[in-house]
Amino acid sequence: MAEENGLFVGADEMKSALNVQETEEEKFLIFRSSEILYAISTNYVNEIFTSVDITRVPMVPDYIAGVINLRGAVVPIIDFRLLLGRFPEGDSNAIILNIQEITIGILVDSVDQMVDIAKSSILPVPAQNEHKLVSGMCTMPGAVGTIMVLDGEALIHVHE
Amino acid sequence: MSMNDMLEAYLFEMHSLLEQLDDLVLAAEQAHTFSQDDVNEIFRIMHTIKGSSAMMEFNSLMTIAHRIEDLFFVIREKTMDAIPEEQRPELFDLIFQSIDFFREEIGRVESNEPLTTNIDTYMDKINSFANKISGDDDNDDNAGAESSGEDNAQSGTADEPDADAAQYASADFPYTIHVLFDEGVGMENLRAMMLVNSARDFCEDAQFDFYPPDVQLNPDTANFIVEHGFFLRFKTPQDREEALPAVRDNGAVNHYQMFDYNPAAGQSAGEDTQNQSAAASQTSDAAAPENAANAAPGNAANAAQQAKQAHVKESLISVGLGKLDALMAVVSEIVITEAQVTASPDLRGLKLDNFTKAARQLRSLTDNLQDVAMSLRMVPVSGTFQKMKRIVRDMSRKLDKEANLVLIGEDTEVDKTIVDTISDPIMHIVRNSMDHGIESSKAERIAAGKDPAGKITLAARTAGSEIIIEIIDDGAGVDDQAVLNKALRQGLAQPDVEYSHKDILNFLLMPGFSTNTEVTEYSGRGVGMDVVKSNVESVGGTVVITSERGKGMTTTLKIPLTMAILDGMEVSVGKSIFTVPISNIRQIFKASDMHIIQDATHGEMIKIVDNFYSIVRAKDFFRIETGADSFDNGVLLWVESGDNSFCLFVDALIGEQQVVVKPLPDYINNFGIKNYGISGCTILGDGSISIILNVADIYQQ
Repeated sequence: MAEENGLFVGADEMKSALNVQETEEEKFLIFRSSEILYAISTNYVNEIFTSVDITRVPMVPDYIAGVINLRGAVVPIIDFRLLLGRFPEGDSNAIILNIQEITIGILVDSVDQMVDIAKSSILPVPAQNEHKLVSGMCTMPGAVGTIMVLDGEALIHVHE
Repeated sequence: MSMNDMLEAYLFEMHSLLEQLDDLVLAAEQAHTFSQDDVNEIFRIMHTIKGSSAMMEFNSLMTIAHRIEDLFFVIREKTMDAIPEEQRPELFDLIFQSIDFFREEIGRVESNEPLTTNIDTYMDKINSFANKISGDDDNDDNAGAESSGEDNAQSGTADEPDADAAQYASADFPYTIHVLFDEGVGMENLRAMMLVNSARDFCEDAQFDFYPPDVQLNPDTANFIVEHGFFLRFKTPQDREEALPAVRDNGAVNHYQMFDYNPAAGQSAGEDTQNQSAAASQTSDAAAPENAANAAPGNAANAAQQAKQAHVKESLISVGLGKLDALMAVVSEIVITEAQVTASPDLRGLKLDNFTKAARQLRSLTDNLQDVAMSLRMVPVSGTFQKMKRIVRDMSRKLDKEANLVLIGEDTEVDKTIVDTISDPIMHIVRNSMDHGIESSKAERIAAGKDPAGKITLAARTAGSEIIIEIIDDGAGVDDQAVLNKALRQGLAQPDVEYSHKDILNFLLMPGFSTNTEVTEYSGRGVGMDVVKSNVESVGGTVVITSERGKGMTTTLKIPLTMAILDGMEVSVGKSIFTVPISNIRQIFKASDMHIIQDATHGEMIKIVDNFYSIVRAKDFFRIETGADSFDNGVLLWVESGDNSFCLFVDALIGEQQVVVKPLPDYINNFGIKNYGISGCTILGDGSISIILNVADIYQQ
């Protein structure tokens, strides 16, 4: 069975830190998929698994990795790499999201860290490069790299 | 209790009352008369409908119920003998029409539409009938009759308090109104609260109080109010006078009385009550619920009946389906978790006597729990069957065909969701039988050597994990040629193909098929048997029609008892595990490559007994990468659902297991996998997920 990652242990301390500077900041979870950094709002994130037992469902697009048993609930898992047309390499972690009351998991290469990003620093994606899953871009605090900010709602409507 | 809860309680009450009324009138119509009990009962039902509807401010319902109540008041006084034989059918029709009217209105309430405002035609009908039976000069009496009961109570000034009531007088608020609601009216505490609210309109909170004080918050006070009544107590007699109209106009108030606080009287009365109750318990239990305030003369028999009813009510509670679903979900989890715990791999190789013993006990308890939880959702089909009586009755009048409905196995129980889904299909089939099946004239039937009156049989029985419902009519049966011609016209059949009797009957189940050239009120409205088929299939069932020309037609619905749990066969295909419902499996066997017959398009078939069946390779059908290719390395499942019969080729059997069906997430279902027979999934004992295959949809491609 899946085991939970310890990433959220310090969440409370971080929350109190957040209260001090409650300017337009939002907490994001950073993950890596095919060498690219993505950020998803922690409002959507329920939990993270380092390994999951996925049951494949036949007759669905490749990027649907299958379903998992999450404490008795059947949760669909999307392979984020395949969704973006890349091939998964090596290990994968599953991030369980709850978006508009829909629970869904995404498989990514690795989960990085949690950061606070000022809303003002999230810039629009250039129109020519616009990807329907990405709602904005920003430079990582500490200038580690550039992050693509995921649009959670677009993720659950990806097949429409 | 919020407004919504109130509405729900109201709708529930109305539905059960109308059902009761329907049954009652149907039975009475058979007997061609209402017994005095029937009349009382209808009177009581109408009174309740009137009261509840008034409280909910559904005026159309209230007014009609009020009129019928008046009408039955007259009938109660004059007895049924006053109504000549030839007028009785009109009376029955009138009641049926009213029931339909109530149902329509309730439907509007449920779908949040505005209620009918123009009810004059109904009113006229009822009034004209009332006039007919009461004669002209009685008519005024009739109008006054209803209020005469209230007049008794309106003695204006303060009365001597009843023994029981006097206990609840208060020195601070000496001017009391003692209100008694109609018996069995329900939601007494809320009705009481409404009185309090109307008193608040003109009276400061400090100027009055009421007893029991917690009517708004504590639903249990309803019982107190039923027993002892409700007490509104005022500081001044003027306020009390002002409160009277509200009490008088409340539809549910049966009776009220005013009295003033009198310490001495209160005390002695209290003793009185004690003596009385002591005496009552000595004499007989049956008399005990009667209290002094309630004992209007001539009411005793009625009250005994009410007491009996109250007893029945107590043993039944209504529970929201949502709660049952939640319970079922938890129980399913427990069943699965139990297996996970007791068969945990960590225990392998350990010798744990006590644990094994406790685990066995736990298993039998969880099995028990599962059975009980399942049985909660099971309801008898009688409700659905009873409704058909009414349909047969209405249609036989309208179409002028005499027909009897015979019900068999009404007590058979099925899952609530299934009962709801099959109600419409059954109704449709019964209508079809009445409309197309039963011959239009008695002469035709007599010529065919049949009973002049047609017969429609509704039979339900369980067979294994399925319920079988048969709708049998002894009508003319299906005219194969007519059906075929129609199918040709509709483009459903090909002109140059020979169709068997069975094929032809299957046309009846196809979309857009209706043999009757004329569209009638009851059938042939474009919704045909195909809707029946899809409804039944939506709950995992099948429809089969058999018919013999001249003998009638039988429609058989086979439906799984419950959709929540099924007996499944776990099979593997490559790394995937699928569950095939055992009820669909006819035979499991091994075959060798040499038994397989190939056709020109690479279709594969196999001969079983005297027939050839197509083979579906699960591996190819579901595009699974791994799995056996040679028939020597796998197993064939001969599966059947309805008239879809074929062989499914899988790698291996894993074992038989009872599984809890879970739907797949909508996100997954959106990809149209249902069309490939992937209908749901289940969580196995080790926590892994297995996909459940719906055989009916696999070979449809």
